[in-house]
Amino acid sequence: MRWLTILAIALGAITTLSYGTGAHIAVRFLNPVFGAWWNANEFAMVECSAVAFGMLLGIRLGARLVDGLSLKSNSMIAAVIAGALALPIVARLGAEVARYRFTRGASANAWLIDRFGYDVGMFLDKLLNAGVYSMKIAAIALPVGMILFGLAIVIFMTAAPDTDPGPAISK
Amino acid sequence: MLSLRLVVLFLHVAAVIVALGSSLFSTFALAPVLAEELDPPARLRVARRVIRRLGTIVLTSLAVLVLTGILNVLFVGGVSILLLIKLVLVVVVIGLALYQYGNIGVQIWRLSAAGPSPEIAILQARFRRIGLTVGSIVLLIVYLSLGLTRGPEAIVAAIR
Repeated sequence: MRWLTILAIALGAITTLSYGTGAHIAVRFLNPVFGAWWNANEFAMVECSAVAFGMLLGIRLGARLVDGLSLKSNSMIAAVIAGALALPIVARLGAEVARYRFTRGASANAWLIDRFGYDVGMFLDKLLNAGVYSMKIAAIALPVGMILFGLAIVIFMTAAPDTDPGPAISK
Repeated sequence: MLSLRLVVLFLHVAAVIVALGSSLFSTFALAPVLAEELDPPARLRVARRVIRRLGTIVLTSLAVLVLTGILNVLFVGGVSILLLIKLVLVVVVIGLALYQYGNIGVQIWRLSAAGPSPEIAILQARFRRIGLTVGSIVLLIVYLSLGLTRGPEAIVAAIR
């Protein structure tokens, strides 16, 4: 679980930085075929790694709130499998929602150009946009991960045998 | 009259009603009646089964809420500060519900297998308190939702 989260963070950081800085040009220079593939897929990888990170974070947060080792580990495994299956759908929905602009404020473009000049400002703005986009997708995926873990808990709780605590005697 | 947007909104509102209604029913109707009408062993036997069923209902409703909530944002077509606050509160509610059913509920379930004990009464009181907190936050989320769609700074009005 820990390694999956680290992998999602690393992949997210690399692809976001690569997309934000336009690093596919350097990859193309070293290996044209791989560079072309990288350029075609890096944006999808930004979205998928952000969703994976958000869902894994949600599952891990949920697991911290639950008691019982076997219930926790079984639910985590089930939630990760369900999350992997749901990843394409959540990535698509998350990407759609993350593209919406804030209805007011949250525009750093002018400030960055004013502070660092046009070229550097535009470069930093694209990098910031990619980072914010990635974080917004992860934020949308977080409750999805938590609720997948919750549903797994429900399934395992319901499947557990109902042991009788003793004879019921009503008044 | 019948559009996907309306169906999604209907499911979203229905999920809130089910999640909130079942928690309130359990706290204010079922628990007092159980305490008055049944002896401790029988009360415990009913309560532990209610916790399991209620957990299933509340967590499934929250799942429907999250899914339809994301679809609703797609239909509204914008993100505002109110929506971000709502998202944070949703994460808090899911966390509290997981703690309520996955931690305290499981502890009650485990301890009650050996019959009534004072520890269970404390856990049940905590279970009810968290249920009420979840209900209150859900009500706050409902108020924020009204602000998003009906308030003076409604996101819909800002976009059009």
